[in-house]
Amino acid sequence: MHTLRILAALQSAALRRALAHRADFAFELVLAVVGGVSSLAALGAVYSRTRALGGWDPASAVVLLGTFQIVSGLRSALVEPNLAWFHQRLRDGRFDQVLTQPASSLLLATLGGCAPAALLQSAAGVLVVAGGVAAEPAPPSVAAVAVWLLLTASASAVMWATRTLVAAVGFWALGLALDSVYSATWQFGRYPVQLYRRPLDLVLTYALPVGLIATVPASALVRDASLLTAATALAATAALCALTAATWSRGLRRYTGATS
Amino acid sequence: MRGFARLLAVACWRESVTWWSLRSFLITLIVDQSVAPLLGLLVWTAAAPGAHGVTSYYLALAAVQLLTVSFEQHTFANAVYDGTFADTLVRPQPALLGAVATNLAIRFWYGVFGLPVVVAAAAATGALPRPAALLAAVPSLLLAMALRFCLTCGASFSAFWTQRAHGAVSLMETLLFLLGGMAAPLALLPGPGAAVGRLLPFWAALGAPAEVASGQADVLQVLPVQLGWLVVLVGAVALLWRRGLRRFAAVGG
Repeated sequence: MHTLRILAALQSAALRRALAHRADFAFELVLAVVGGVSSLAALGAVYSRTRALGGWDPASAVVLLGTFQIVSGLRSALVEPNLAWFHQRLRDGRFDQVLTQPASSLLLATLGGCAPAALLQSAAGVLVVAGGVAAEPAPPSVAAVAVWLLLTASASAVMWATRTLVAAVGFWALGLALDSVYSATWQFGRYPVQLYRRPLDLVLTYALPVGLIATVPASALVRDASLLTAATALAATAALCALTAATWSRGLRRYTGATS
Repeated sequence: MRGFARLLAVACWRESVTWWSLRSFLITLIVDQSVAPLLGLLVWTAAAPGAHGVTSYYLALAAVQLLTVSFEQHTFANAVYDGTFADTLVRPQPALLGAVATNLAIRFWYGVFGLPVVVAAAAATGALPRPAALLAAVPSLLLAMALRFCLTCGASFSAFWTQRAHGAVSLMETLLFLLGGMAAPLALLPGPGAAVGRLLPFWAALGAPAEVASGQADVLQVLPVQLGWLVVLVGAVALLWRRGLRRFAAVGG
């Protein structure tokens, strides 16, 4: 509870700082709109040539894209401001500052700051999901919406856990910055994993949980995912979060500090 | 002119050596840059399995992407933001020399590390381009390299006026993705998309050489569009540069 209060205070301060720069906010809005329209246009171009992509019709693919945008916006707003080029903070000693604060270093280092303007991308994603759902022949059930919300929250946790794991590599290999590789892998989430051929689809489902980011939550909304699928996704998320906490803890033991 | 060429050669050598020491980082950047063409290839081979030349187009596009990539939002705009650009201005050399040298050095290493993978993929999928088409694509590729530099540089010059140069470049990259032939080969765009796209600088800076290399466009029709945009963009960049320099102020010394 104490840590949550600290996090809330930090996020509030970041929000107030961001709101002081209204022009930046307006620019982020333009970026979110152009990004959203661009993704929809790209999807539209694909569906002008086919009726289904990996078994997904256009409306379902729009729901998937919107879900992807929601989680991507959360990543840009809450996680990337903290973990981008994290290895540099380990190298030059700025990470020491986190360790001296009276709260969980994992939460402070990974969620302590935020870029609220990027949440506009998530807001655009919500609109895209709504548009996709409206284009479906039948509206989703209340239960499907609830499961989608749960799985989107779970996808956000997967995003946080995997991004933190990638950043934590810096504890062992200070010269290895995998930020770009993570961003590259992330892009595979904007399409249904069923689109990719074997063995890539298996890799993106089981080895790198890209499928959990958008395909699984969107399935719940437009395809009534089974309880087993939802439960498996939640269990995988819990396991990933536990693995992240354990890896962080082990990494911290290796860290010796770069300042005096 | 000869003096500039020597300065550029020395700066390129220095930057190349610097980036060689960062080769593991370079490889991660190459992976990042290769994903968009790879995704395009996967999506379009699934969406239009009968479409002619999609594989060869996207493999050529991957090569063009690697050889035209520009990072002036990092190399130039960040120097404006942190004030180190002031050091560059007092040196007896063109102020953009460092940015140009870094650009060429990064593209060189992208080519060294990335092109063998693209060639291997093309050989494995039977999508190797015809030598004549490849040769015809060279002038188009050189113009695309200059155009991409001008586009990124122009967007990065917004650092003279705003704190959002990275956002401006990101906006330009989004348009490049959508209209440059990355999201879809222009020939597969619905409606008037293809005709409009071929008149814009984004296709000239990215998709045009890939279409020539994969035998889907005639280089004689592509070059005039690229040359026209190069003239326009060089003029625009020069204008932005002059106005931006007048605005630039740095504290310290």
